[in-house]
Amino acid sequence: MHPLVRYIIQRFLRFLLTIWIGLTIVFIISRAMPFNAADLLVNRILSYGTRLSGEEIEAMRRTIYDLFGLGAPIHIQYFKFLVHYLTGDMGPSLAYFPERVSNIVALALPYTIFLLLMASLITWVIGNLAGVLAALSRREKLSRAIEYIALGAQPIPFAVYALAYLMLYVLVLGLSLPTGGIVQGKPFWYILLDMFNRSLPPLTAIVIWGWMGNFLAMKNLAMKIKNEDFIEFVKLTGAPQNVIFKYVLRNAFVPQYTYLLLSLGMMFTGNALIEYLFSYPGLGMLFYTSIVNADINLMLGIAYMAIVGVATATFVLDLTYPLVDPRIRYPGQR
Amino acid sequence: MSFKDLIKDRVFIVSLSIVVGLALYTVIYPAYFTKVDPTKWYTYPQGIPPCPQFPFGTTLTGQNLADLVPVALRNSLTIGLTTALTSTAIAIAISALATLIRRLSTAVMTFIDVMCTIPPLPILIILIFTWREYIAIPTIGLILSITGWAWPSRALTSILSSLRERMFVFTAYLCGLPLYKIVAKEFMPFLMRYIFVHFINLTLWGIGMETTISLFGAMKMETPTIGTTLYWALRYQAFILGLWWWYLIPTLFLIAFLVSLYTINMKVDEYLMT
Amino acid sequence: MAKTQIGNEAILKVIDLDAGYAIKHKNKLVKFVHAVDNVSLEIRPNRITGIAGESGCGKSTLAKVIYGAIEPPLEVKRGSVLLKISDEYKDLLKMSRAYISRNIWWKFISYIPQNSMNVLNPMKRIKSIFTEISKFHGLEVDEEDVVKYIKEMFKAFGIPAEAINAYPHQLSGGMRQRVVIALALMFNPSVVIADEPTTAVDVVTQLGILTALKEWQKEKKTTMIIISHDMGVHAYMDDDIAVMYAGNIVEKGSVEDVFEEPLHPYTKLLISSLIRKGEKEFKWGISGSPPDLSNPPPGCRFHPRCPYAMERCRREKPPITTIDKDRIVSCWLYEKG
Repeated sequence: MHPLVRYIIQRFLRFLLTIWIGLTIVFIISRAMPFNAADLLVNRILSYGTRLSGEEIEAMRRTIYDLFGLGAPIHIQYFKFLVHYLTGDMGPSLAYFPERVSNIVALALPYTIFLLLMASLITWVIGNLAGVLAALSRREKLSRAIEYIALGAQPIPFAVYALAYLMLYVLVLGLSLPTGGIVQGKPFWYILLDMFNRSLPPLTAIVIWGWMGNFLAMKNLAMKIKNEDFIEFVKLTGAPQNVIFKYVLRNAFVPQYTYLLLSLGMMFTGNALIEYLFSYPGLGMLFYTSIVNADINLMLGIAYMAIVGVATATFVLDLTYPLVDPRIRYPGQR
Repeated sequence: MSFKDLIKDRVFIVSLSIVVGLALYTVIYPAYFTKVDPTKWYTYPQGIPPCPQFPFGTTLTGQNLADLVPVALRNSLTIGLTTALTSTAIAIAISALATLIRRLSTAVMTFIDVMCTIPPLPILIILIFTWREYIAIPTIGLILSITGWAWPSRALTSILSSLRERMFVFTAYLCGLPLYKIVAKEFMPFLMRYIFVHFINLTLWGIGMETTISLFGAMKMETPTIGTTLYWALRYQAFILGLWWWYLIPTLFLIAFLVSLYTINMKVDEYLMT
Repeated sequence: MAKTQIGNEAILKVIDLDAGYAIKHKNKLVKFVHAVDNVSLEIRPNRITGIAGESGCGKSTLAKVIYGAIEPPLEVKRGSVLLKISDEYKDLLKMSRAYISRNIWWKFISYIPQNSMNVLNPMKRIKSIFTEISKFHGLEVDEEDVVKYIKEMFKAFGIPAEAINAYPHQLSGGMRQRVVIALALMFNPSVVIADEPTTAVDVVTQLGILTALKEWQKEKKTTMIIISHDMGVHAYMDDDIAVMYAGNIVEKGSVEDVFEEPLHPYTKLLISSLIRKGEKEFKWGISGSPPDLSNPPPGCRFHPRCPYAMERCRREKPPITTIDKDRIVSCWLYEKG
């Protein structure tokens, strides 16, 4: 079998595995809820004042009981759960009963994916370029200074920075945040443009912080590559400095790309927080609303979609990996 | 860098004193200096800026920040430490499993990679949110370690794998040492450095997650942590109303602790590298 | 000034070269490893000159300085390296690195590094490595010409033609080594420096590489400098040989003279450790180890290991004695008076 085909199959299987493990985890946490909470939840939701009929209240009570594992035997529940979620049926939202969770999430998901991909790619590109420049530069003092700043930022929790940036943005700079619901019913390009506009404040927030992590990783890597035999040699063949730069970049690309793939999951955490703080209509914002409303079904749905979203993004990037690393396309001798 | 160099290093001494000092402060102050339960709301006049009577000011929820901050810091630290302890333990166990039992090796490593790709926030929030009335602060740390072990495992597995290939382990194996003895005698000293670094990193991560989860409002919101304090400050518009002491003072304490801890991490790592 | 005859005047002259590695701690000099001590050499054109000696004697450093690849912590204290370009001698040490890099390297003088199996960029195809080098030196080369050249070279060196489009990791170590040699010879330079061209390959590949180099030399009349600790390589390849010990040149001459009648005790020991056909005697290595070049022993640096060491050798450094035309030795045994 062609190594490329084998690689694609491997990656696809891993994609499926991620979804399955993710689903199992979501199932476990959905059934591992404290017992009393079931009734409390029903009462709390009812106390918000609903316009639901008696039948619908009963349906909701049943949904909640199902959630809390008070129903059929566990393996049947698991099977039904898998089937439902894989076909996109995540049940009704508890706060917006009987609106389907899948509908609500589907509106927010593209915004989150857009922000996630843009943010990770931009921080990755900026961080990596800066890292190589710093590693190869002769201006030792400057690259040292940047390195210290980046190091100093590492221990500070992203949440603290996010709040600080929000305050800076709104109070000090006096800029406004675009608000309003998710745009529907307009042509595709309009939605895309709107998405892009709305993503600018959260995007700048993430990028200004995020590039430093990539910078540090890349600088270390580039320092190691700089001393490798093939760099020494190409210098001796007469290569000018910009060629060295390209060589180092190209060779650091592969491990850094792997790092990018794996960090998407972690980035989601920071992204979700930023979405909520900056009123960006993605999963993060939705998640906050679901917490406020104690809408467990919606929370589970978001957890699932987050996993699917990140797994898909990872898989797509995985597919481009052979373009980056020739050793996959042509496995070598040893 | 020798041990003596480490002890004498000024940066290290300063960081260590800050960390130890703050830790002691969070334990001693609430025990001896706090007269009223700082977690109760509306015990004090609201929104008073720092003054001799209230050195850190009071919040709009009527809490005395001077009493609140040490408790908040202590709770945040407890969460961070618990998650560091359990995550490290799980990570060591899983990477040992992946490296020492060859047949499970690929399966475990794939599992670790998958767990690294799964975004942890929603899962953790759901768990903490639904269980928050039934659990205590340290347990929150335990919950965080459900996802916290993945990244350290990845690093540890690669280190252990390279260690395993080395000659001296092979010799020990040939001499018939049982598995756990191989781990203890050959691996452990080398691993100490990495385990220490990961431990500190996990503490930092745990506190960061706690802050994020609190900002989402999924934490035990009446229990003071730095995260919940910030949440309430945000909710009560402290930023817009200019009550800077409410959000700045707890944050500064937190940053002081975290940066010092991180510096200790770097210095000890430098020392252990030689 | 009469036109000099091609063939006899040196193409490369090393004059009183002093170089070494400056080990610094926090900008203060801690020690200086004196790897090249007062070395003078004349390399004749159209001949293969070998530089022999144990590991750590300074031959690699000498090669780097001759080539002009001087980077901290390597420092040249004094001396000059004169390369003959269009009937004129130019001091390489006086030129800027940028100038040498673009105009001298690869066109007039090439360098085949040690460990050449790992010097190819893993992310570049072989063909692209060849085409790129032309750009470094401002030469616009037609890709078809490059491919034609590569195919010829590969045939001469025994590399399969498919390697042209391959990535380095797809080739064996020996093949990569030969690719690097083909790369070095690309612009038919007047001088080629080969640093340990046979380490880390098996004996069969060794012979292949050396033979290919020898044939190239005969055809193109290239001047070659072979650095090796393996006296067998020198016996096979060299026309002239210089023996280095602890940073000094201890003996020089044509390879027939030196092997037939080695003068310096060190040379004698080196040659006697070679196995000749039919010999059944037990071979001894040379006892002891090379001195620390940051703190060499007083007097003659070889005296701690020399079986003929005299009192004078421990105190004074021996001068360079000229035995014959192009035959020199640095040893008190041969100095009268």
